[in-house]
Amino acid sequence: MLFCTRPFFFFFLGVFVLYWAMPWQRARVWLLVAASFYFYTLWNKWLACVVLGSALVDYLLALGMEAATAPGRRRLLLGFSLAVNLGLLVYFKYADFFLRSLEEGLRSVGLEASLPVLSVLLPVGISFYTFEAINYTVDVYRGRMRAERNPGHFLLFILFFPHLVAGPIVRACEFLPQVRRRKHWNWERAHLGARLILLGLLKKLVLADRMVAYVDPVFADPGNFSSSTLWLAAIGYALQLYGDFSGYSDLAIGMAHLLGYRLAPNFNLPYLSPNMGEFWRRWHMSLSRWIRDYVFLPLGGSRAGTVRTARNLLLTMTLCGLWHGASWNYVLFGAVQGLILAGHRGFRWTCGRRPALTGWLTSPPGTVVRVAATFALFCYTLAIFRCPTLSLARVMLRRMLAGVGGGGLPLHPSGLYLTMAAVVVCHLASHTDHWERIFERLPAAVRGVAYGAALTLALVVAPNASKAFIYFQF
Amino acid sequence: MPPTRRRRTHQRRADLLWAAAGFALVQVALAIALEKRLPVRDPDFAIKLDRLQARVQESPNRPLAVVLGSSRTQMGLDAGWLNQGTGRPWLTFNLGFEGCGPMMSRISLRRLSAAGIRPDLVVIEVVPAQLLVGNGCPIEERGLKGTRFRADEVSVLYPYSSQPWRLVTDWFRGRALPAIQHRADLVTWLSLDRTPQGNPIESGKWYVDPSGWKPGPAVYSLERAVDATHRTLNEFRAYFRDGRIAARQLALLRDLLTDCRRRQIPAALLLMPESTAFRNLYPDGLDHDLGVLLDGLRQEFGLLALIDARGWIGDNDFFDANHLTQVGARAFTDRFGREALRPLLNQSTADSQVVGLQ
Repeated sequence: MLFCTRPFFFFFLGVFVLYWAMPWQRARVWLLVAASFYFYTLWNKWLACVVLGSALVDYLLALGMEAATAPGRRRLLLGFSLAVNLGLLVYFKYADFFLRSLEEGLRSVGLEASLPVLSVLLPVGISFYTFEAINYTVDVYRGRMRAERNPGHFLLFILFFPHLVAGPIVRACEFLPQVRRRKHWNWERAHLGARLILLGLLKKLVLADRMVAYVDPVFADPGNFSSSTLWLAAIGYALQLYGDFSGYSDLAIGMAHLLGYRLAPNFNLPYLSPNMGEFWRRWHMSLSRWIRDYVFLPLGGSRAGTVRTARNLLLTMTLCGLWHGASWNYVLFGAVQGLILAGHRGFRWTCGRRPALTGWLTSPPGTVVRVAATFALFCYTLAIFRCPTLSLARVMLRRMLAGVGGGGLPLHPSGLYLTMAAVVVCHLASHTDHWERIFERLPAAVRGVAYGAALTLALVVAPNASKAFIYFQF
Repeated sequence: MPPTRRRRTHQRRADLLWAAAGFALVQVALAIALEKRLPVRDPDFAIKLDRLQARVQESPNRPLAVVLGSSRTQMGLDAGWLNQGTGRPWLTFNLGFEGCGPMMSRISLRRLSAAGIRPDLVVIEVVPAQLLVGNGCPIEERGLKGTRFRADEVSVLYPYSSQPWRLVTDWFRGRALPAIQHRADLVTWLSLDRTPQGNPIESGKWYVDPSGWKPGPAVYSLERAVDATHRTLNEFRAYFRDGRIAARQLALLRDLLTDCRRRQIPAALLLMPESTAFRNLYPDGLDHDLGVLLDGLRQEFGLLALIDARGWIGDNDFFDANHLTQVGARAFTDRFGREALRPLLNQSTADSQVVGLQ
């Protein structure tokens, strides 16, 4: 049940009305748990039981860790929790991929191998709730937080339907205290939630879903298109990815606000980043934070010298790429991002010795150049991420730089240019709160019509068949 | 609660209420636009009306023949071909639409009148299956969407509908939430689905030629044709199973002809070509009953002709037993112009007696 569909609208409306009609906090928690579990069963009943089962295992193990006094026992329980969580993640998401890769590897050295095909159904959201569960058990192990005693509270932390299938990846220490607090209706919060939902719908329906028609045919067969078309498709995909994922995040955060919960923001205008380091701090921020805290920093972070830092960046980003899916495209994409980050550190060190260059790069025109270059670099590397195979990605990357002729976009490009211009304007407007203050000073009736027109626009341009969110597949 | 906080709370509450009101207001504005603007409400018809007005403006002195009908007419009559060259006095226009029958034809006549167009001849296609009631619902009604009509048009169709509340509910849904119900129409109107070749009205799915012809496929595979034929025959078989002409459908046709007579527009009835496989669906006796019925109408209403073209075209020139290919359309148009339309010109302008063509 996708967020932008009529059935989900009625589902959420029902939950919302019942939730605020109940005066009892405990009942509200269990209502959300039940609704979230029901929401997941609509994807797949059996996999919903897997999620529930793994959540209960983590709940019990955390209680056990807190009760245990011997460090060895605590470590054992943590290890068991990590084994269960990562084991499920590896089995459902990567087992077939590893088996196929092993088979191809053996064949390439002349050995015949016929390994079983598992055909495993991927549980929706497994990459997200697994990381949340790991965050919880590690934090309990490290003593950063107490184990949650109330099973309903813990289940809500894992299953809360706004963030269940595609994040944001929520921290237990940020979410669980909210569950314990009694909720009161708050008009400011409702206003914020409604605005975020409207923004999410606009990003998903007006921006992301309309880019599909420009993008899909080009990435499916890049050899047939000209260099300029490939670049336009890459930009279109960058807009689609941003609109889709940040739109989803806005919907999730907005719905959470309407239910009295605050989820951490997940995007901060990443396409205004002046370098790739900044970019990954603004894109999918909840995952970036998690990867930093539980992979990068334990590896040594940036404290252990240049070479080690570069190694840590490469490893971290490669794992981050692998997180996206069971495909060598994602692994390579991650590795390339790691190399770029390592390269950027070197560049920063070089600039540090050249004050004039640093001065120009940090000036307004220099910042514009850096932002444009960062965006172009990200779009270029998206060929690896998006193309169905590595060989097609190679073709696309080569043709993007070769200045070759070929086919044009499948739709008239005016729609894409208009969308690009609108995204640039909205990004620049959001960069300062200047336009926000102007908007707030308008009469309420004018603001109301503006909101009404925006929602109408989202409904009108929505494609006939609702497209799944891209990050649902991760 | 501190005063600033209270003020902000009130402001946010007011914002939310105004947002709901603003959304409702925008829907009302769209609903009014839909009632008034045909291109948004019924782009199919608006495009053809636009083309027709342009053709009439180009040739204001030529007698105008409008052919009303279903997708068979829409794809089968290359009216532009009839309008070319000397010795072709009629200005013929193809006002056929997918799924159109006597209900839509009545609305088409009203809309032509509202646009100031009075044809000198109306040729009305009769689809035999549309006079029957198979599957519990007349075939025309299955595809008839209330959202295409204005409120007064719905009131015209209401007495004829076998499910009048469905028509009204459709219309109401279209006006209550136009952003959803008319989404595809609004997107086309806003040109949001333009291809590199241009607006889909000019070159894509909405395309019709300047005389209203929507050509069928120029090239198609045998496999596709077999599959399409199979589906068509299956669909129509249910309607022919009963084989009885329904009283309501007959009343519709009669009222349509009464409308033509009231507007003093000479009319003729047309049975479009059908393949052998399609004609084999007819149950025993239907052909005879149909012939008696239509001839009776011809005499009662003083129709200029009853044109039975069902056997005019060979089976190879259909791509689904029901619709003509481009080659088939040209062959039909040639014969239609020569054997049906030209004699009707002499009849209508000389106000002579009715001649039936069988």
